[in-house]
Amino acid sequence: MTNKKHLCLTLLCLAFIQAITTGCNDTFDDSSMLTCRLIIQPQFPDDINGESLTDAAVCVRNISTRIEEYYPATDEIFLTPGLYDITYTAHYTLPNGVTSTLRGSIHSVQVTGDNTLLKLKTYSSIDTDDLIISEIFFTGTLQSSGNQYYGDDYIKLYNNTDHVIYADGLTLFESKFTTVNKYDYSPDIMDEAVTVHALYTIPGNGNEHPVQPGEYIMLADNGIDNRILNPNSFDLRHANFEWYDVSTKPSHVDIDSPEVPNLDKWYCYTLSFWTLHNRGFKTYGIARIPIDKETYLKDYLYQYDYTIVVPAGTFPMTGSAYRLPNSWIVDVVNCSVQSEFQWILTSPRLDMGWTHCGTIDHDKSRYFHSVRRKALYLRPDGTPVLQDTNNSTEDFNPMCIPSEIEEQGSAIDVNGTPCTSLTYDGILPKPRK
Amino acid sequence: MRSKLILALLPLAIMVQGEIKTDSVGILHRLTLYDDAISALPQLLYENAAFMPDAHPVSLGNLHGEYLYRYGFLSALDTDPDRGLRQYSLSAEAYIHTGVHTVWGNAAYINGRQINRQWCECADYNMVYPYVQATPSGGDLHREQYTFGGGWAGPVSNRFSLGATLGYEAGIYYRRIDPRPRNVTGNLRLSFGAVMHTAPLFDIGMSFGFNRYTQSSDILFLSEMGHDPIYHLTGLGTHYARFDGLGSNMNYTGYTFSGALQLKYRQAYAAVTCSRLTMRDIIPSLNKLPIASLWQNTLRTEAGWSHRTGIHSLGTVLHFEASRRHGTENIFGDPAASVYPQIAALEMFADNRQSASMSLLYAVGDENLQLCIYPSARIYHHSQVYRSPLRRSSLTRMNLGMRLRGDAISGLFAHRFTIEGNVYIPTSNTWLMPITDQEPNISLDNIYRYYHKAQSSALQTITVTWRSACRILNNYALAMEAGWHYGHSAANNANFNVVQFSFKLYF
Repeated sequence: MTNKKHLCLTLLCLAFIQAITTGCNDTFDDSSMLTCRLIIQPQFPDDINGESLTDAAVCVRNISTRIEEYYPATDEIFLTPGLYDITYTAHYTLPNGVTSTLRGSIHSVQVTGDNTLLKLKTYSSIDTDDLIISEIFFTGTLQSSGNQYYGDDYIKLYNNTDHVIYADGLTLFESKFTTVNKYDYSPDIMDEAVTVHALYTIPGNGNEHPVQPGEYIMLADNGIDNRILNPNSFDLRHANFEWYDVSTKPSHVDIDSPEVPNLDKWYCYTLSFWTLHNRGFKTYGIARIPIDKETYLKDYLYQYDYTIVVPAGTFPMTGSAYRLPNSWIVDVVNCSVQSEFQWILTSPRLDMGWTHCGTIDHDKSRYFHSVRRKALYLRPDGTPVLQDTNNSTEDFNPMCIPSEIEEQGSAIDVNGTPCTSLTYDGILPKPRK
Repeated sequence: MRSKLILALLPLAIMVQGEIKTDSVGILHRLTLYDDAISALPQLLYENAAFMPDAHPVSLGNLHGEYLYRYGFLSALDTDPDRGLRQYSLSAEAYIHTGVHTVWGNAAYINGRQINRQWCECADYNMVYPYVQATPSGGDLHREQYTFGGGWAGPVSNRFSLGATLGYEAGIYYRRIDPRPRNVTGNLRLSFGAVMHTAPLFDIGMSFGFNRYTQSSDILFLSEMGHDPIYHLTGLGTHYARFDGLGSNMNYTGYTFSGALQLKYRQAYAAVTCSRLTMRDIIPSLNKLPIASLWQNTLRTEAGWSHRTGIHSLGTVLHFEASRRHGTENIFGDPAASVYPQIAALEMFADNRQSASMSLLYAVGDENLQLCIYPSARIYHHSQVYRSPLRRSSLTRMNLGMRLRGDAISGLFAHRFTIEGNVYIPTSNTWLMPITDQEPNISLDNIYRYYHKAQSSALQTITVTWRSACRILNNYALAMEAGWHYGHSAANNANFNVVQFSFKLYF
């Protein structure tokens, strides 16, 4: 009898254990996936009637997986919970018959509840009728020893219009903040201005530096033949301007090329010399500042607070930089890398996206590459018309062979392999003359 | 550390030998009897330490040095992504019946190198998968492992016996060229068991186990020209794309709780063990980001019977095992002040396995000459699912095996010869994977496709081992053992070879 009792007790325990272990679902399939409903309400500019729009579409990009999906803008969208970048595009026809594009973009939208209502502000493409940034070469080259070479970075501007534009007074700037570290800066001025810490202006009285339609001007770090210092680099003596800094550190001095005029330095944060961020974490742009240098430096200082939270604790911080009103800005390009990207440093009105060289921090494949604006088509005279939709993700070809390397046939890697290709934008082939 | 370990092993061996030498059976016969066919039949029963006095009929200890070399990809049997292994080990083990009590212990040092390990920079892949750090380069991974453990079992009254075990394993895994992973692992195991003798020859046992596993995995790059991206894999060829290249370290902390019941009546027994593992994966460099977690429930049951008459022994074991591992990825909002707020958790990965097997045993012979035959059959099902975008892999295969073991004692020598053959026969498989056109997805998909093909294709393995022991003095024996394990898979005609040499001093 005792044995029977023990046997029953044991069997009961066994059954209980089995029930615990096998009571859950065996597996799952995608039909059981939790989904959330996203409803997008685009908000149009006052002069645009929503009913006149065509081809309205929404691109939803899951930040965790980087998978992009496209939906008609009229539908509600069912998504798995997560963080998304959402871009709205639509076309409309102006009274003169020209078709233009309406765009809106919001980054980092949390879709977690049953229903998420998203009000998305849209902007029509802005024609600034001015120069645009066509290329940024910020990564630099490598010496044959494998060490980085500083000094051959450059930015090219392009006249995308059908008339002459004077470059005089155009200011090149670099953002103070980086696209890879997001803090809640207070006060938040992003809707009105860009926070900058380097400003270099093209000198001139307004009529000294004409840029013909389809012409480039180049702003370089060192307007010298860089091949003397690094055989893997190239010649920049034909640059239109260079940025030159009088260094306060004897061990780190800048090179002042006698053959290339200097930009007028308004302000720069560094006490040595300025180079473009060679991993591409900054935002670069050009602006026309309607006031003089002294007034600007006096009246447009921006002081801000933010908080750093790290495992060691929480630290309140302060900082200062200059603010550049959005209305003065002619063109801007956000740069980052996929692995580190956290935010865009400008209002979506100026730039809705970002471009890159490399995909991770310290990416060894980034050297000898630049970002180049896409060519839409060629004019009858053979000059390209470049794409400018205020979305650097769409407008730029990332990780291209720089135009100077292509034109000079210089090295494309640390081994000194010469470049044999020639393109308008890093992709579209260009015939050699 | 190595010399300290060896110095620590020697006094252990001397102390243990002092206890064992009182055993009345000669060393060569103890060597044969120690893993006697009938006693070695149950597996789950001895997870209750209180049953350990039945595990071996005699006491035995050994000092052991071994070299093992594997050439070839074991993908048909294992998912640890290496292409070979070279290692040597030094160890000491002892199992002692002393009066009514039984004690046992072991210590080991292992030093080796996994050859060309790819797409996994973490250690203990089978423990932490699918959430591992990976780089496209990979390479050889050095390993050093230290193991200590021991246990006690004995009666506390006429009706009750108790037993307990304690063990700790530590490991360090590293590479000296980029990418330079440095993985430090620790594994603490505790168990406690009790047996109630309810009636003559009828025992009921219950045991509980606890296991704490930790691993810190750091990857360092020293090249000035930059480095490969680090990917955080999430199973079946997927990776957490948002954190590609971010967070060069990962900490794993896992806890396993297990409970087991055992029944034993004369020569029949049944045992069931269930365990639950929970593990959290954290990226410390991203403000301790809890990137993922997983749980695994495992059920193992075993029932067996054996009978011995004269020189004949007969036995059978039925074994069933099921495990279910689910992985959850945490979703994070936009970081503010370097802190990623968690906004959701999605259970995305499932890995379920079931296997059932039946083994028979027939042994004939006396203490000087014995032959054992172990035929076995097993069916195994393994399915993996990644939820979105949907990926699925499942396979079922049968395994038929036969093992022959012969023992002979002649004068000063004892010999053992073992030969085992296994045939794995695939019966079904499913493979569903979305088409990808960019790295690293292409490479990862190829790896998982290779695993699937290897494990769902026919496989034949053969193992041959030979051990010869020579008695020196009265209570010592010096033994040399050599083994060869060969496998041939129909997938890509891949072969692997494992050779193994060891020297043992038994006492």
